[in-house]
Amino acid sequence: MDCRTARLLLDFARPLATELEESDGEALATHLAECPTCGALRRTERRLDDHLGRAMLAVLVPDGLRERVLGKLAAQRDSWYRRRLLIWGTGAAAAAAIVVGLSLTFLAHKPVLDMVTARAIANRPLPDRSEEVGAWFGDAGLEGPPQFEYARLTNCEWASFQDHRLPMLEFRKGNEWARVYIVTEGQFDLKALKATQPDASGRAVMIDVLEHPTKPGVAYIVKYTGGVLPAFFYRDTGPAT
Amino acid sequence: MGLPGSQRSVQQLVEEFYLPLYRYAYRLAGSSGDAEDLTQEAFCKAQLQMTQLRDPKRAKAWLFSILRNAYLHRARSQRLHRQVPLDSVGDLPEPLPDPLPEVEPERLQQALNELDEVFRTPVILYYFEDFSYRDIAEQMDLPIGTVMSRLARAKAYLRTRLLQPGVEALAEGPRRANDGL
Ligand SMILES: [Zn+2]
Repeated sequence: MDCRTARLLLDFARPLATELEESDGEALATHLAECPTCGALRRTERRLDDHLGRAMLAVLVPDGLRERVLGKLAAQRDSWYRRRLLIWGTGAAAAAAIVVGLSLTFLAHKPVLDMVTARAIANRPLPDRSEEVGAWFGDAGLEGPPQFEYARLTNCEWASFQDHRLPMLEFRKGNEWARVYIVTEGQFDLKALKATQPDASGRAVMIDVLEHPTKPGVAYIVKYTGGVLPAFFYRDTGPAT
Repeated sequence: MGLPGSQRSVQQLVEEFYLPLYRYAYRLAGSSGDAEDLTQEAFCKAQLQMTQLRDPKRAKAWLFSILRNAYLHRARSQRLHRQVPLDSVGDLPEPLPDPLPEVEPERLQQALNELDEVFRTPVILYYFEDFSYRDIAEQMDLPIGTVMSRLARAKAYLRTRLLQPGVEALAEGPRRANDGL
């Protein structure tokens, strides 16, 4: 091997990442052992590389990095599975809505609250205008409480009530709120629910049950503050406050 | 985007590679905060893209490449580094000082920060030792010849800057390094 070839190959003969064929590596080693110029060049290169390489790798790793990375990955997995459930739920809801629609035809106006459908509704964006709420519910075969003033509707979500997941509508008036959970007959002992309990700030939270005025089987559990449920109603169905 | 990475396989990647990945991120980005963010981002992306890793032996190169893309994505919006024209790199004195002067960590990082990323990445990967020229070329999607040329100039810059007594930064302003290739 001549000096020119040896210098070309030198770059590729790194201790941990050699890219030379075995025969080239051996020929190079022989040349380096015999040629003082190339041998010295090789030693200088290695000396510089070792010196800078050690400095390059000397990075302090912060305490707890591994745990923080694993924590972040776990959070990402959780959120991914939650999103999957939501997507599967919405897909199932679309299928269920068709079934519900057909059932409604056969049951001749008997209202059916399908929980999967309800979940899909709860995750849909709120309509901008209160008058659209009725149509929005109606599309999926659900009935919101007709007494309420829908201009006061501030939130609609899937909420937890006594370990059940229920579609929940939240209405607000000033500092007071009312949360309406939509339930079907048989889900709860509705009579036993009526009660008063304090909320986190010590205010009295009333629990009341409303039945749909015309549709049997549809009921609403209402948790509310302020002591006057009709305050959240249309003015023509309750006392103005 | 799917989450095909099982908890165990991703955890194995973390155990095996979080240290080199953090060090690489630190050298690329120049601060511990950015390095930690990039490390977490790289593992999160890896978790979402596990099916792309067909050969487990390529896991380290794959992770490094994800991290570099994350870095480039950030760096595009923030031109943080002063960059030097590498034409001005001088020769190392002969003979070299013996012993070689200690390389202060801050000065090394400062010198790296002065390099354009196209020079900085190959020189960092080179000193991580187990990356071959082919690996570096694949990471950067460049021909091997280009990688070697950039590497030679970046190494010369670091050596002159860090091992030659009395040499301070060659940077005069936020100019882009002219790679001349
Ligand atoms: Zn020779």
